[in-house]
Amino acid sequence: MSRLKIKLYRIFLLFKREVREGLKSLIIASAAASGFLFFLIISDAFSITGIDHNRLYLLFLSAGGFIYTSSCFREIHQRDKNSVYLLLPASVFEKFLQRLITVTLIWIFFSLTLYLISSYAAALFIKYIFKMQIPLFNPFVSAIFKAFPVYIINSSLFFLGAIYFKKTHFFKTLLSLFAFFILTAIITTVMARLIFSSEINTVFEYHFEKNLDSMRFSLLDYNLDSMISVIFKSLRLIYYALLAPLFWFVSYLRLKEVEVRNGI
Amino acid sequence: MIGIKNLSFSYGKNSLFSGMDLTLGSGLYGLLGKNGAGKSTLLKILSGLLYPDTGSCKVSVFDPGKREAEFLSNLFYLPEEFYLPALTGRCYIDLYSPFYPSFDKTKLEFLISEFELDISKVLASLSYGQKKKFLLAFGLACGANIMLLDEPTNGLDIPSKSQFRRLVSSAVTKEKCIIISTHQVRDMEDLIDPVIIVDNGTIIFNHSMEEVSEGLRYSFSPLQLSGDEIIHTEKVPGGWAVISKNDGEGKSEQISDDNNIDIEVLFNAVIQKHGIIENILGRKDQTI
Repeated sequence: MSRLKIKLYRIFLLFKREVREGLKSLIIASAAASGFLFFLIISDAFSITGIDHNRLYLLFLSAGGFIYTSSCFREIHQRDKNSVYLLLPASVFEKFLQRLITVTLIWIFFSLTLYLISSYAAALFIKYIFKMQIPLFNPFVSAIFKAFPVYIINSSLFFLGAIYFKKTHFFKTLLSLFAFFILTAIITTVMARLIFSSEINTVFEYHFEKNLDSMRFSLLDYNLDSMISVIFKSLRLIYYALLAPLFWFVSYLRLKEVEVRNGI
Repeated sequence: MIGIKNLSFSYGKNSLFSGMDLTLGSGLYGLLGKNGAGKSTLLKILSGLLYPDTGSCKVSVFDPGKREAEFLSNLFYLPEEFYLPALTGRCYIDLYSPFYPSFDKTKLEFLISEFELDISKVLASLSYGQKKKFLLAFGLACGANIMLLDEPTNGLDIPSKSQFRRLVSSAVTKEKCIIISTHQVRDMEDLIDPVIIVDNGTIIFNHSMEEVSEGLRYSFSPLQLSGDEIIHTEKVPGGWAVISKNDGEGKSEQISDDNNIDIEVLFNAVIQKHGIIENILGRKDQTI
C-alpha cells in the first residue's frame, strides 16, 4: 500500500473507532435533536410569521455545530482517556484531520439529514393531525449553501477552543469571543480618537450639528468611502481566506503539544 | 534501541530528572525505584506522553514526542491506571488491531485462552485483573517491538502472574525491548534482566544479573555479620541476607551461598550503598 493509502486507511480507522465507541451517545443525541427539531418546527408552523425552514436549519447547524465542535477533543483533557487517544497509532495530523472532517463536513451532512427527516415528520404530523399543509424544507437553495462556508469558518474558533480549554469549552470560547470583541472595540475607538482627534474635538465644541457637517467635509479629504471599502474588503478577505486556516493551524500546533499531564 | 541523552524533566518547579543518560538495547528490563522516583514518568517520556524539558530521547529511530504513526504502531504501553471503553473484547480487537500492521490474531486467540478470558463480555464490566490480562494479551499480540509495562502484575491473581511471567519471557526476541516498571519484585524474579534502578530522578543502577553475580555475592547467615567485604545486610525471616563483594575467595562457615540474587535485597543495597556497588560492578556509563 502506498503511504497515502495507509494514511487514508488510518483516518478511516479513526472514524470507525469514533463511531463505534460513541454509537450509544450518537443515537441518544440524534433522537433528542430530532425530537427537539420536530417540536420546534411544529411550534414555528403555528407562529404568526409562519415557518421559516432556512432560519431554523441555520440555527440548528450553527448552535448544534458549535456545541458539538467544542466537545470534539474531550478525550485529550480526560486523565483516564487521554493516553489511549494520544497513543493510537495514527499521526497527530491524521487525528487532527479526522476530527476536523467530523465537525465540518460530516456535521453539515448529518445536521442536514436530521433536519430533513424531522421536518418531513413534522409536516406529516401537522397534515394528519391538524389537516394543515406546511411548506417542506428544501435544502437545495443558495441561502443554505452560502451558510456552509460561514459555519465552517466560525466553527474553527470553537475547534481551537475544544483543544485549548480543558473544560466548559463552549462557554469559555464564547467568553473569549466576547472579550475579543470588547478589546477590538476599545482599540478601534482609541485609534479613531488618535487618528481623527482634531475633527472629533471640533465636533463637540460649541455648535454640534454645524461641526458634524464640517467633520463630514473634512473626512471627505481622507476619501472615506474608498477607505471604508478597502477596510471591509480586507476584513472580508481575512474572514474568508485567513481566519479558519489560522485557527486550524494553531489547533494543530496545540494538539501536537498535548501531554498526558494536561488531563484533569 | 532506546537512547536518552542529558534529559531533564520537571513537574512545574519540581525537577525530577536532570541530565539523565540511558542507553538500552533489546531485552527484558526491570525498572525499579521507590515511590515518586520517576519510573512511570520515564515510561511516559519514552512513549511520547510527556515531553522532556531539555535533552534528547530516541526510541528506535523515532523521537517519541513527535508521536508518529509508525512509532506508535511499534509501541505498546500499559499504564498502571488505564481506561477500556464499553465495548466487548471482540469489538475492541476489531477496532484497535488494524492500527498495528504486525498484529497476530492467532497469537491473540492463544493468549486469550491462556488467560481464560471471555471476549464476548463488555470490557468495562470486567474486573481490574481481567481488564489487565486482556490488555496484556492484546499488547503481546500487537507485534510492537517496544513494550512498556507499568506494574503489570498488580491486580493479577496467582495463576495469572505465573502465566504472565511465562508469556512475557517467551515474547522476548532480539528485536524487542520490554521494560517492566514494578514494585512487585518477587513476581519478576528470574524474569527481569537487566535491572535498572531509579532514585531521585537518577539512574543509579543499570546492570545485567550476570554482571551482578560476577561482582556481588548474595548469601544467607543466621547471624548478623560485619566486615570489610560485607556491603549490605538485611534482616530476613530466620536470619540475615548478606550482600558482599564477590572476590572469588572462600566464604565463612556461617554463610550459605545462594546463586539466585534476591532482587529485593539487591534493590535495598543499591538504594543505600549505590556508590560502593557501582565501584565494584564498574561504571559502564549506564550502557548495556
